[in-house]
Amino acid sequence: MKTILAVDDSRSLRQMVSFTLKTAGFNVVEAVDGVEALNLSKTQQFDLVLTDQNMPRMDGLTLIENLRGQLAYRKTPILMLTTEANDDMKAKGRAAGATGWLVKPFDPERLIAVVNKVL
Amino acid sequence: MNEGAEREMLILLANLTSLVDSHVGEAAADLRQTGLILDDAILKLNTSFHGIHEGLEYCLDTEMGGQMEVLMRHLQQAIIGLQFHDITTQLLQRATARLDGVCHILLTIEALKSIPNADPKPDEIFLHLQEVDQTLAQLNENLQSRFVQSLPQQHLESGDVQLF
Repeated sequence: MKTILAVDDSRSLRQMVSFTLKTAGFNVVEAVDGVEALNLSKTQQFDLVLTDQNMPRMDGLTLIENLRGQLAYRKTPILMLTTEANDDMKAKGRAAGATGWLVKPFDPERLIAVVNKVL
Repeated sequence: MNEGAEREMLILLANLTSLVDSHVGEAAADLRQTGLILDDAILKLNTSFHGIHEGLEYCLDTEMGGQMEVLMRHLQQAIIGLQFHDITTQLLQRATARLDGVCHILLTIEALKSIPNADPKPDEIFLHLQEVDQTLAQLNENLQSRFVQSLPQQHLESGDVQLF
């Protein structure tokens, strides 16, 4: 069973992501921000990371840059799930190493389809 | 402008800051209360949502099985709808931060309202008001820079997906 790391400072958002992906057969681990996510990534190998952008302590772009700096996460799919929709931010995400950019609110079917596509 | 009018202008500024500060404080309190009610509503909706899902799973093999596709679609729409908590929380945080910023500006202007010289000449008062105006412009620019992008979501249809 593939394991996904879901990173968001919103508890309700994490619950919706977790519910959606678990229903689709994935194992989901949650993190409240980039710092917790980075710490978890060093003790457990995730098959995919799904992260918000605007979070306390460490934002999504910084998390992606740090993850890509780890050998184990050079090729791991990393998706951004955020309210940010402007092209400048998407370009920054791409440059940081994001695999894709999803704008909130997410459609459960589309999220599952994108996750299956990149895994 | 004569001395009396200039002093009156300073009094007006002080009264204005006091009045706006009072209303800004009340608005901030309303926002905080909205946030608390929102959190509570989401907690209740989440509980109901999971309860409904468990009930649907239990009914999967019964006569309701034929309705599963319709019910699952409603469930997916509920997942999209429940995400309004995250989006509206961000909007509330932005509004609160903006109000805090305005309060800071008002306090700064309040502190500047007194001219050091007890008996200022008109041109001293003019220069002082200029300084206050320049400070106001800089504080406003600093506050505006914290809100570069607005949240684009105007409704709760699902957002775009782009793979790089």
